[in-house]
Amino acid sequence: MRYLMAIVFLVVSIGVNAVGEKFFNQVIIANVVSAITNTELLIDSINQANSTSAKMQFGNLVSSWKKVETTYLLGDLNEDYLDTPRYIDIFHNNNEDIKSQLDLIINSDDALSSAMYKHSHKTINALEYILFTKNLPHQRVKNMALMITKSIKSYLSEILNGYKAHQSKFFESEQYASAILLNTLVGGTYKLKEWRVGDVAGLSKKFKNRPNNHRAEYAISGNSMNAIKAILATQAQVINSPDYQDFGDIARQFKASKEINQAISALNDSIVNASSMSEFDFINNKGKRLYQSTNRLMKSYYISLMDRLGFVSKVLDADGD
Amino acid sequence: MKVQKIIISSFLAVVVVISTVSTFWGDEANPLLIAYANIATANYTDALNDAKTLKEKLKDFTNSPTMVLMENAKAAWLNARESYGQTEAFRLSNGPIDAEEGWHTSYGVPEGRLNAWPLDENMIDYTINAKGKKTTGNIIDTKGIFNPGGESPLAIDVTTITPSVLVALNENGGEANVATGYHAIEFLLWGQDQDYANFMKDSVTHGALVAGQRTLADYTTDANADRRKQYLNAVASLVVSDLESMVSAWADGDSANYKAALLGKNSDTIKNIDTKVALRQIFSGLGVFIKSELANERIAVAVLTPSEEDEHSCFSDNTHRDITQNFQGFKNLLFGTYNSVDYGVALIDAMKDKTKLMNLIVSVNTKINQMNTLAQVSRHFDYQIRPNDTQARQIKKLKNELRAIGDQMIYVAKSNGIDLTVGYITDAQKTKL
Repeated sequence: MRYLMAIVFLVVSIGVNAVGEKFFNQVIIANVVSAITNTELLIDSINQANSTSAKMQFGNLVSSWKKVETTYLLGDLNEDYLDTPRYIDIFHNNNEDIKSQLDLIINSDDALSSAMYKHSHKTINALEYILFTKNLPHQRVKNMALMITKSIKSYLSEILNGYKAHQSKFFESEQYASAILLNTLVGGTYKLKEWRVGDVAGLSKKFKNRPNNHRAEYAISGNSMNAIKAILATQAQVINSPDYQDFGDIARQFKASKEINQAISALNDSIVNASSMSEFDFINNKGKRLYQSTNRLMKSYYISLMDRLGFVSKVLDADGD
Repeated sequence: MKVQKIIISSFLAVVVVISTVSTFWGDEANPLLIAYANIATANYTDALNDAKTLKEKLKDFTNSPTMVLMENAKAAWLNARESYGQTEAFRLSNGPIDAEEGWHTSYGVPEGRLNAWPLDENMIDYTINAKGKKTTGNIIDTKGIFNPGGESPLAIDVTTITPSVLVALNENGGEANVATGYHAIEFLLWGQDQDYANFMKDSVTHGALVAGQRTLADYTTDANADRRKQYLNAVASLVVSDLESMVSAWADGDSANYKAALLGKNSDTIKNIDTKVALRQIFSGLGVFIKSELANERIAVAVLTPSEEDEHSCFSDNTHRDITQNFQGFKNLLFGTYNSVDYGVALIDAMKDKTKLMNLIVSVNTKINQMNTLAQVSRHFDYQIRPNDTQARQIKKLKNELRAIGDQMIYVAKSNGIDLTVGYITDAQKTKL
């Protein structure tokens, strides 16, 4: 039995311009601030019991929240913030039927403070159900919508403060920052292509050949494509912005031009594919094209870039259903 | 534009295995796989024996329903979970328990029948719903054709409740339509614990140390008592037969079974699994199991929602033991031991710097011990996850550390010359790139 193992240590010193403060402030911080502003506008609409305005503001909140979620890396900077997004959004992180629970709460006499004890009752998913299927001028419905939106605002503010408190960790090791940023993109792109597109289009393994528009993330309000467009636009902020040193620039300095160009190409294709889609197009060829381009994006991040940049990937999260 | 200029120094350890795997080990099987496979043999054998005892105790109970025999049956169920919980570390590795494809699916891929969860218990038997009403229209109280509901359900004749009837009903109409396995037995023995209207009120059963309180009358004077007995015996038979299938897959001395194929010794050589492929599946399976299944699905969803429905053994309040034994199963394979017996070369042995991983394991052990102690003396898991309970924060930390251990499997694999890529570290049951 012959066995020969050679271990070679390569020390590579590469001078690069890192993703830095401008990206952090113009993308990560700015997107959180925008989401907080949208919660405030939504609170105003709810206070006025203006259902039309509240629905419009909800759409804006979906868009701005998805932007925050797309680059959410605060949990990597401080573990205490790992779960904060789940207090805002339970898409694929919950097994319960919150609709029937919310119906019970509306119809009960219990004080809302005790009736809405679950985090899942105060998420954007619960808010969608309340705003789009219930009568907002009804006092209890209005109070529930207010409680939910204020909770979302509170968690967004916690995220904003968290980023400010722990930004030094992002700046002090740009290699670490780049690695967690890429892992965030990978995780988000996996969920985009698999959960937000594939499961609906009947192209994911779990729902192979069983397309169903009701599986879309915001099937009740019709904001699913709005969410997807926001996710893709945020990815463009990360890898293809002319305004600041972005992750695409870093990749090129790591001699990964070919790989990042492939990613940008797949992202641009995804943006084009998404732009022509309505809420009902997941189950036709448009949905299939979006699945294919986001799958290419996923592979270009994960297989090509991760490998080329020498970053260590994480085990991807499975869903909770 | 402010540009930050930095110097990045990265140390890349490149491990080059010059010889091929087959040259390295010659005709001998890889020692890592030998230890892994032998632990599987021992663990599944224990699980089968414990399931047989459970089946006997259920038979005793249903033959002569008394409180004593009901308690004996419950004790047997709790005991059976101890060994089965450890076998779950063999999941998600394309092995016979839950392989998606390959010849070894002929073992029946029984995971979904053995341990499907969470289940919609109201499909099996009555519950008290969120409005305080007793539910009807379930398998137990339907004497004829039963439609399980859900997505494209197939109606089944349940006039007599047999193993084949339960197999036909299991996950018929959706994942929640669970009719078989340990948790179906658990529900039929303990009954509902959860207050569906508000689990903080706990008004169905009362108390932090109180599990489900199914009455003996359900098996004596109730109109459907005999159908419950039928159900219990049918589902216990299925558990035993499915575990017999697993034991045969991992049995020694069979040159045609899965164990032989994993070790490259199957007489039908086309069935033999390449050593590197086998190791990659094992490392990735362990990573996905510990991070995505145990940390995410079994702990995170329960504590972050929070949701009693999403604790693993919600009728018996045995969730603390499920978590303990799932983690024990992971440690068995990482350290190459089972029931204090050393099975040889361990997955962790090749890792040079074990500090981070070992620190995480020590910390997880401490938190699991604390969870167990509290579950015995002050409050069950469903009370520990309440938003205002100080223990909820500890359980969240436990979940985070388990996630970190899952990520460490990439390094453990690398130490053994195995690179894991995206196709391997996602949940293979749910996605394919």
